[in-house]
Amino acid sequence: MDSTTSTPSHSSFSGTNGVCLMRNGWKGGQHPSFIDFISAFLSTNSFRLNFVPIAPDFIFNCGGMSVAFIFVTNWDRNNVDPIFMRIQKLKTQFSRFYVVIALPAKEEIDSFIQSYFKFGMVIGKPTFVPVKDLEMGFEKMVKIAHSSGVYKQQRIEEKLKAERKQLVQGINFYLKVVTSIPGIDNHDANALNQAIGSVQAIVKASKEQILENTDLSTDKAEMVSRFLRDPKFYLRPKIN
Amino acid sequence: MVKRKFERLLNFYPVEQSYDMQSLKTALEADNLVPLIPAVKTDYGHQSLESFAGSVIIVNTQNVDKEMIVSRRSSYQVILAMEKRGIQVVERDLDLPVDIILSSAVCLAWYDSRNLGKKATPANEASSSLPLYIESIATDVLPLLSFYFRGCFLVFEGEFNFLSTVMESSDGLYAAATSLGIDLQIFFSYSPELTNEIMINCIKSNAIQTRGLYPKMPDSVTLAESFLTQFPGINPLTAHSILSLEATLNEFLAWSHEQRMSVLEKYHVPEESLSLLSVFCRFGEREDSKSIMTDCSSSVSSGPDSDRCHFYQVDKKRKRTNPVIIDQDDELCFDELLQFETMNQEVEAVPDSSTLQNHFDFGMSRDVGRSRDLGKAGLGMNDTFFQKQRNIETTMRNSRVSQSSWNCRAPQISEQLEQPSLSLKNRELSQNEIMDTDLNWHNLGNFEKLHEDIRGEVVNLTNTPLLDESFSISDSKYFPNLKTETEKDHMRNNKIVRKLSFDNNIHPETNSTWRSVRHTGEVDHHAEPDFGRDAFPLDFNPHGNIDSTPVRNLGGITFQEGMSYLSDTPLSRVRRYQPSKTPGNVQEQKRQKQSGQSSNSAKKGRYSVPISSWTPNDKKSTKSMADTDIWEERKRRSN
Repeated sequence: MDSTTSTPSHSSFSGTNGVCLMRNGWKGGQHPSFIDFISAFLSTNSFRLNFVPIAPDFIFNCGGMSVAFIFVTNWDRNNVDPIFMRIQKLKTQFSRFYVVIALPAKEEIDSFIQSYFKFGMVIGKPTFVPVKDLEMGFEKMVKIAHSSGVYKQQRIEEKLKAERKQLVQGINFYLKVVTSIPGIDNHDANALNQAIGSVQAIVKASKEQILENTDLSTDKAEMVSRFLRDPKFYLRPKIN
Repeated sequence: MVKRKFERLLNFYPVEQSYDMQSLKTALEADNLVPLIPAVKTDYGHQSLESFAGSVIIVNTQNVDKEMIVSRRSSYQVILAMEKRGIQVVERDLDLPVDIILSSAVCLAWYDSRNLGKKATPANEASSSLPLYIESIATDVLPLLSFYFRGCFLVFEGEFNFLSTVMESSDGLYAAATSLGIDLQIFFSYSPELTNEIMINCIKSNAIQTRGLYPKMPDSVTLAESFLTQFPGINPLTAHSILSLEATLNEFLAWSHEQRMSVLEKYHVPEESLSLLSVFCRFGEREDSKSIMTDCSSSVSSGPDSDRCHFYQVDKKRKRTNPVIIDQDDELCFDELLQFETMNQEVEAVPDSSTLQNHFDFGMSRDVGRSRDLGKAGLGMNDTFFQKQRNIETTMRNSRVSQSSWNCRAPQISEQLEQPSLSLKNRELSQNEIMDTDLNWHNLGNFEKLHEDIRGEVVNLTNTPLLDESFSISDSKYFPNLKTETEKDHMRNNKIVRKLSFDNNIHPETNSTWRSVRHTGEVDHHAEPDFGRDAFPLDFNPHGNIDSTPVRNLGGITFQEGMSYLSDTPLSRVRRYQPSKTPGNVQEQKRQKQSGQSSNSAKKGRYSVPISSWTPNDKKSTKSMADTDIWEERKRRSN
């Protein structure tokens, strides 16, 4: 039985893209020409290759980010249980974990899809990467590992989250929401924005406060107040 | 023995799933589900008919050119048959690029060789490159879906050549999903029958997690659902979850973010959706303005402050009687934004001592800047002199109030910021940077509040009537600040690419390729930033002097740029540069990229957020024309 080895820390600024750890047992099950392809591919892309006894088939470390892979090179549709047992074990050990599966024919595709659901896989835990041949499979692994490293180095997720928050803070979204209150038009929405302020402030404002601070008519102020507070009103079907 | 093993496995996995659930209540429910597995397995009579009761799925009936799965009769009938298992199937016309909503958090999109081009690009797009369609899913579809969902199933259907090409091109999809923080599962189907099987199983596997959760959803859109789905990040099932709570709309919207998270957890509403909701609901808030005024009043002894308070009062009265002033104020803000970009460029030229001197002068004479602003405003406007003066006063008032708030609440920060090289705008941004740093170290309530004040004010600079009413993630031209930052990110990316070099021969080509895909090829960067510093833009030393170019580190890359980079990592070029291929392929690659860029700019209308049906046509038309005029005026002025 393979034991998990701690991933060596590695700097991505020392002339290599990262390190690829290959499980000894996995290597023993492959054709030598495929191992040669892997060695050449990694060398060309400045990855160091080490053969170690680890639980996954591969662990890549790029830019300080570790990604684990199981690489199923010979999907035996009559004996899939061991694969999913390994998956159940490994998915609790690695936060970034992918299963690459070579599916060269219809029979393998059928079997994979049936097994994915039969064994109760939940989306993203882990992500399965179907490929048509072994070379594509290994190439995909390297690309996923590399983009994960870039993602970590540049804090892309943080930036994208911040950008999402920035994008939603705009008058256009505000107008869309406020003008979806029945009877409220753009002019009214702008008046509410100017005098009352945020959506949160509007939902807290009373009808009297709206009348006092804006030029909305009594009917419209009543509509805003009632729409937000009366389920019998706002649960009615919308008629276009 | 095999049968017993099978039963053991079945019993094992549901228990395993319970560990993935966050809520104790959900876990308890999951425990109750375990005994049902054998029952469902052994009894296909009455009991199985109720096994998924309380689950709801939404089928997208937007039927433009029969692109959605609902338009394929055989598939839709199979989906409808799920109602016999207790799953409610609801139809909605959705502007989101999904075929089925499986839960508040998970959706499914279906593509085949016929509809992939139509769903991924506008109908008028001439491009017919399959890899570009896959790329547009990574750069346009997934970013949009990431506002509304946490997980997405992508089903590609076609014959083997089509599937092989999609497999080959799918790198960008995995990279995009990682960066956007969403879970992605791609399935490949060679026939409609297999597609149906995949969809049914996706529906069932999600129903296992949502059974018993949702009350019956109305067959027709309600006023409340229509209202809530206008909020960014709220999909129809999330809206249904909100409306299932024992709270009215105003109560729910008045709650704190933590309260909403707490009550919606059981419905699996994505945390990101609720974060966006919280941010959006506070847009335009006025409470802090009142707070500022109070602070100013408490220091009546200060003459200038007293004047400022009075000025604020007067302006408030004016706004009440002249709401139209909003647009004009936005125009001035836009002007300041353009000026702001100019200042950024000047800051970037700091190494030259004479330039530094000039910059010093500019910083010292803000009044001169105001006069320039007045002159600029006079050039293209037809307003009366009085109106112009009032608008400028409004802008100045805003700036003063902002400065005043610093003086009132954080005098020590104000001292730290007193540097001639920083204009008021840069000062605000520096403040923002400091707050980001301090929040990590001290987490003081006052700092957080001040941070929100400043961030809100800065963000409003991008809030102008020129913005297209339709929502577009990929179009970055309406966010000049972000675009500027994007250019710097390009440089940073190129540097990283060089650091992570693969082969010396490829290196120059890579650099050249990146230059060719920039939106504005004319951008000139005087000096390359230090990689070590740029790699950690938020690493701020509070004891040292403030970075003279804080703007460089603010903001984020746009989805388009970020995804475009990730979907075409250097590794993907290695394959293309294999010795057997001729250099001509490089040219083809460049042409493809340029084509992709042009098609990207044409895509923005594809998945726009719908304009409210309550907007009168005449007002909409007028607003649109006004926007066009203003935009053209801006372009003329810039020439």
